[in-house]
Amino acid sequence: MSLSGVLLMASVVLAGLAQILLKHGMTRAADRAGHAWLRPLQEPLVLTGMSAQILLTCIWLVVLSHIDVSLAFPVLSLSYVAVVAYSALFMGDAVGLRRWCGVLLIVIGVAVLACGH
Amino acid sequence: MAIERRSLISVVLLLVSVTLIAAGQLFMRRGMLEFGEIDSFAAFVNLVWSGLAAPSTIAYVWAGMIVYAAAVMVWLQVLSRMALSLAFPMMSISYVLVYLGAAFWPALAEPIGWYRIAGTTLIMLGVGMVAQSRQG
Repeated sequence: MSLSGVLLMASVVLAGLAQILLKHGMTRAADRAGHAWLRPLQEPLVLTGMSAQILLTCIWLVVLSHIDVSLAFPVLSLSYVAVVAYSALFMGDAVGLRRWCGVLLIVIGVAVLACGH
Repeated sequence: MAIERRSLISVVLLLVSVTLIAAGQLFMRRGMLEFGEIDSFAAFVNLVWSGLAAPSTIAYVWAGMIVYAAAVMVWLQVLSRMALSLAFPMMSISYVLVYLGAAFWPALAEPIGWYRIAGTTLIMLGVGMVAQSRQG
């Protein structure tokens, strides 16, 4: 896999990770005392999630320097797959048939894009 | 009438947010095309350095990031006004906008092909389904 391919996959992982960190962090921050806008900034998980977003932006720019945006942007939706899988496996969310079908469509769609590339 | 007006504003904000997301991506791609391929760590440091020391040299990249940040702000407004299960599937509109923008903006002129149309359509449908209601 080329450097840009590896970085594209890293972007997917980081995007999913950032969502999960922010979700956990915001849930925890809700229990903290303090101003509603400042509470999240005292929560390490939120700060880590934000750092992941910043790192993601940097890597994303490198990806976009190599790959067409009409190819790279849809692939980023694989991060939803990671989030759905995580919420099913570790959060005990009930993921129904419709969502798994959605996940399957995303994976097939990315495979089709990759074939064309 | 008041309810209709409120939901109209929500829909307009949603469309603005989706459009800004697409525009942000297109601008970032345009800026990075201008800057050139980054194939070493030194090239990346150079990107960050010129971005901070001489922002105008990567104006499109900055424009893209600012537009993207604005999209997130508008998106948060959307979320406070309408149900996530209704709003989120609409985000898949951004794939169409990115695709059309990349194809028809002469500065990008990305190729149109059946693989891309089919792949993007499948992903769009998939995101719409994943994002829909929490149950089912």
